[in-house]
Amino acid sequence: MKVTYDWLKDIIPVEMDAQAIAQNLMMRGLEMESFTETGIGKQEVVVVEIIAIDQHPQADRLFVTQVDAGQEKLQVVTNLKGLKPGQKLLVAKLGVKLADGMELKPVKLKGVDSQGMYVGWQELGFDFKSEEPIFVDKSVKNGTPYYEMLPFCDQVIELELTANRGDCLGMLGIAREVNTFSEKDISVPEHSYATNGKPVKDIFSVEIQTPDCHRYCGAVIEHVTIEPSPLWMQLRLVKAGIRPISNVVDITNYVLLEMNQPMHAFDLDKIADHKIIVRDAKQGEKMITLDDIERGLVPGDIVVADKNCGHCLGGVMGSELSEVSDQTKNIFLEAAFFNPPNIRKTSRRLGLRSDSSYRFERHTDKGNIPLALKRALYLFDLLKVGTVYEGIIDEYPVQWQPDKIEFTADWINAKLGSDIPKDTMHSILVDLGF
Amino acid sequence: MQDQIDKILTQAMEKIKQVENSKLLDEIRVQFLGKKGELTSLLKNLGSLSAELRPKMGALVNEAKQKVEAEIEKMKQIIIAEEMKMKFSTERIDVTLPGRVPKRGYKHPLRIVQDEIEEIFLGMGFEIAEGPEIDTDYHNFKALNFGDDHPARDEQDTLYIDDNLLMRTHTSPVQVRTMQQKHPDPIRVICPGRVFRRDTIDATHSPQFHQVEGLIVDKGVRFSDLIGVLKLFAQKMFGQDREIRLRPSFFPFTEPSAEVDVSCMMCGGQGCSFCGKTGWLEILGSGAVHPNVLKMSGYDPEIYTGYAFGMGVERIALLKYRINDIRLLFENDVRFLHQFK
Repeated sequence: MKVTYDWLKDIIPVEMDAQAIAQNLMMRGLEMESFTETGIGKQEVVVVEIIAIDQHPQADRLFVTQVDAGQEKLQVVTNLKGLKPGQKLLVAKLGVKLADGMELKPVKLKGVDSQGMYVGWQELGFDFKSEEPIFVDKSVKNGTPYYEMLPFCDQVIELELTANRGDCLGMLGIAREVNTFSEKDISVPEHSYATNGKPVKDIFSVEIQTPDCHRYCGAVIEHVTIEPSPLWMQLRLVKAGIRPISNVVDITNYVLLEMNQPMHAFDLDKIADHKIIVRDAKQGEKMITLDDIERGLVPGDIVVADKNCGHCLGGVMGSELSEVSDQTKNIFLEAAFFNPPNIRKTSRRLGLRSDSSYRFERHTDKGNIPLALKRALYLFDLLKVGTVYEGIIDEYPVQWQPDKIEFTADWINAKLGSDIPKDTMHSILVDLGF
Repeated sequence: MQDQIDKILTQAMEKIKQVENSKLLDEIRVQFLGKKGELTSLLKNLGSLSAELRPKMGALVNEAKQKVEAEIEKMKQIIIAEEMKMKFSTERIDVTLPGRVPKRGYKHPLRIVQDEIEEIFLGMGFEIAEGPEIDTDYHNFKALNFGDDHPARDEQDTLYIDDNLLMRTHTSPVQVRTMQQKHPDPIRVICPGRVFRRDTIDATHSPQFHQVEGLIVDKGVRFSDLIGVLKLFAQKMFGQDREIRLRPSFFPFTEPSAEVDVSCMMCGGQGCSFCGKTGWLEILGSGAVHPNVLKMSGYDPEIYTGYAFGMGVERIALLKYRINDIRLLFENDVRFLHQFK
C-alpha cells in the first residue's frame, strides 16, 4: 500500500515529516517496504502556453513551438504531434537534470534552436510509462514551477501489510492509525453533491441471487463526458502506482485508494432492462474480461449480470460488454461487498488479480459502502462528468452485526504483565474509531 | 717372467688404492684374478716354461695373487665401512620432529549456532522436543489456526506430498504434538528442526532451512514473561549490551503477534550498513498462543495461557558470523567451513 504524504495531510493535517510517520507506523505493525522522494526537486520545470506551432523546415517529424513561459518566451522543438495553440504543458528549461540523469543543454535540433523540452511523467521520475506529455489546466499561470503548481515533489511510503490489516489498504485506514500518534483530527471526506432530482430507483434496479454477495449499492450518472481527469487527481493516482485512464475510471480508483472500497462503472445502456442480477456463475459459463481473455467460469464465481449475460466477474474484473468507452452516455456505478473466500478462489483459479480483488480478499468494510459511493458521486459532480441521480440503490441481505467485546483493564494488564492505565487504553481505542 | 709378475702386481695395487666403490673393486678383481684375469693367464702360461722354473714361477704367481686378494679384501672392508657410514648419515631419522596430526572434523556453523541456542534455552529450564519432518496438513496448518484459505497453504509456498501429507513449513507441528501429549501439564519446550518451503534459492532464501521454535504453556504466564525470555536469549546470543524491541505483526497461531528485533551488534544501534541504517536486526517472531490453538490441542484457554516464539537458525548464523550469503551454509566449500574450527 503506497501512502502519499501530501494526500495523508489532506485527511489528517499532521506536522511531522514523512520519515517520522513511517517510523511511527512501523512501531504499530505497518512495516515500511520503501520510501520514495517523488519528482526531480526544485528545478526549472514550468507551465507554458503554446502560442504558435510551425512545421520544422528540415524535418518532417519535428515541430517548432513558440511558448509563453510567463516572464519569457521560449522556442521549443518537439516531435509531439497534435499540439494546439492555447494548450498549456510543462517544459523543462535548459540546465534541468531529468530523472534519467540527462541534463538539458542548449541544442539545435536539425538546425533549429530548442530552449527546452516538453516533459511527461517519466521525465519527472515517476514509474509510469507514457509517451504523452503532461497537460496543465488553463487556469494555471504561465511560468509557474511544477512543484508549486501541485505536489509533484512529495514522499511516498510503501507499506508491507500483514494479511490481517486489510483495513489499511485505504488512506482513511492509514489516517486512523496516524490518529493514534497525532494530536490532529481526521476530516471526513466531502460526500454531498448536486443531483438532477430524479430518483435512481425509477431508472435502475438490482436483485441479489447469491448468498455470497452481502451488499450491493449502486448509483446512476447521466449525460457523461469521457475525458482525462484533472491533473491533481492523476498525480495522486500516479504516486500510488495506478495509471490514470479517464475521469470515470480514475474516480473509481481514487475512491478505492481513499476509502478502501472497490467500485465498478458500467455503461448503463448496455445493461438489459436497466436491471443488474448478482448471481452464481453457471458451470461452463464464459466471459471475456477487460484484458481481452475469455474466461471459463464455475459455480462459486460471482457474476454481475443482466437477464441475458454476465457483465462483470464480481469483485475481480469487468467484462468488455459494458466497459465504459468514449461513446458511453450514461453510467451505472457499483459499490459492493463480496464474500472474501469466493473472491480468493476465483482470483487464484484464473490467475487474475486486481486492486479490487486484493481488497475484497482481505475483507472490506460493508458498513462503509454508502459513504464511499457518495464520495464517488461527489467527485463525479465536482469534475462535472455528468449529472447524478438522486439517492442510491442499497440491497443489503447480509447485514453487518457489530461485535461486542467486554473486558477490563485489569484483565489486559494481567495478560500482558503491564500496567497501562485505563484512561490510556480508552483514548487509544477512541483514536482508532471505536 | 719375474718382471711381468712384478709389473702386474704394481699395476693391481695402484688400481686398488684408487678404487672408490665396491663395484669398481669387483671389476679389478675380475681383471686380475678372474678366469681371464692377468695373473690367472700367467698361470696358464706356466706350461711354456722349463720344468725347473715351473714350480718357482707358479709359487711367485700364487704369491702375487694372494697379495692382490688380500689388498682387495682390505679395500673392500674400507669401502663397505664408508658405504655404511654414508647410509647412516642420509637415512637418519630426526626424532625431535613433532608427530603427524590426523585430520579431524569439526562442527558446521549451523550446528554451532543450534547448539548454542539449545544451551541457552536449556539453561532457562526448557526441554527439547523433536518431531517428524513430514507431517500432516492438520499438524502443520489446521491445528495452528490457519484458515482453509490462508495464503501460506497455497501450493506456491508449501511442498505437498498428497492431500494430507506435506513437508513441514515450520517446526510448530512439534509444538502441537507436544501439547497433545502433555496436556494438561505445563510446557516449556523448544523444537529445533529442518523445515521446507517452496522458495527459489538466492542469497537469503533456501527451500530447506532450520528453525528453533519455543513454547511455554502454563497458568498465569504473561506477555512480559515472554519478553524476559527473549531478551535474555538475545543478550546471551549476541552480547550483553543488546536491547530488543517488539513490533506488532500477524501470525495465524498467535494473538497478539510480534516481530522481535535485536539492536545491531555492529553499531550498537546507531545505524550502519549491516543493519540497513536502522540500528535493528529482525531475529524472531513471537506472540501469545491463539486460544483456538490451545483449545484444539487440549488446553482450556480460560485457564491456561501460552507463549510461542520462533527463529531461523540460518538467519542467526548469518548475523552472528556476518555471512552474507545463505548458500555458503550448504554448498559445503571446505575453505568456508575451515573458518569455523
